[in-house]
Amino acid sequence: MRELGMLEYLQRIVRRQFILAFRVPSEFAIPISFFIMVLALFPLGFGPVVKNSGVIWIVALLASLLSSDRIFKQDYDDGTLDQLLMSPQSLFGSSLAYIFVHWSQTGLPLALISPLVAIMFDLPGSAILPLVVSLLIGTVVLSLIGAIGAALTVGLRKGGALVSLIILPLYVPVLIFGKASVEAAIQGSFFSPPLALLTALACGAVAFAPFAIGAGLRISMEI
Amino acid sequence: MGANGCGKTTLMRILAGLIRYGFQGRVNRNSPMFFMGHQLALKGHLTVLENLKLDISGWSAASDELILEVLTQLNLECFLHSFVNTLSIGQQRKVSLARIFLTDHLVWLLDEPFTSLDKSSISKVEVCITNHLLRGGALVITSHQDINLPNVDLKVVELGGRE
Repeated sequence: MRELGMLEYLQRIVRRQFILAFRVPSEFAIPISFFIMVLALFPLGFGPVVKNSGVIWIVALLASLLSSDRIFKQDYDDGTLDQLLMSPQSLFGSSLAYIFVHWSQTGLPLALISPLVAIMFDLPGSAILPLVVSLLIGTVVLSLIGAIGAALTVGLRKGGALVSLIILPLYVPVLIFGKASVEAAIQGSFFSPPLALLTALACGAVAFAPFAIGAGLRISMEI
Repeated sequence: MGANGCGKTTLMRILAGLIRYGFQGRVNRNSPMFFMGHQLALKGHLTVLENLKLDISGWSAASDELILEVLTQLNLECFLHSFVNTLSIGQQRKVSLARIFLTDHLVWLLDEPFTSLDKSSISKVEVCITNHLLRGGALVITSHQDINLPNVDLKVVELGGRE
């Protein structure tokens, strides 16, 4: 029997989580369905032309929030989390692997279907690229922050509402910079400064959030 | 050994390092440990083979041949490609135990591993455990029943629990 390298271990987690996601597609489909259905309600409520990118961002944020409390829940319930915490491999890397899979199932599809939503909201063509890019980067931060809340509340029976209360305030900077980049493009000015700040937020979150996630999981397992 | 609620599982989780606070004393872990608790750490939507190949305890990578060998020892070879949620609880427990038998860990922490197993399965598991101990491994096991491990020096500790 040979020893398992870190890279192989991360591939193993990613592969396992993807297989599970495709075998239980409801987990994967709910955030996307929520995103499309809620956005479809706005033209019905506010008239045919809403023309507000902030609405798209808020719904993307809520769609990400909807699934974030489940990142570690199933693993906690079936005891897999015990194995993860006892593993000799770095918890930093394992957390990033979990977040990558979560982002691939929520943030990535939302960003990919956002051009269609932009057309539905009558946004100008120049706003589509910043919308897609800002959602691609911003949802990484949303997944990372969501995972911190999920890790802290994984041991609680009804942690979903608590996750929302913990992490919604932390979502605010992402919303501000994400919306600002799209609005800048709509007004014909440079959209790169808010996008650069959003990227800085994402880099900071990738660097620090896995530590918080690891600590949160260890605290939760003590309960 | 000990009555329900006397703290067997808590003790195992402390030894495994899953509980770090709220107890007196210190646990020094110099050897790799593998813990199997009441929850089996299996995914119902993965097959037996996938569960064993994609196990995230992260110590070693077992070949398909070795997996088949261990499953054959436990009479599970015909369930290699079955989804775990189609197996009985006893069979699921044996799959979870197979995960441990596939590792080179020196110390196994098994929390009531014989629960839901039939007599024949218990003796097969006992053989695997004995082989591990004869290879120089160590074992901490909690159980409500007598354990039959021939040629092995087993120290039995009865936990008192809360009055």
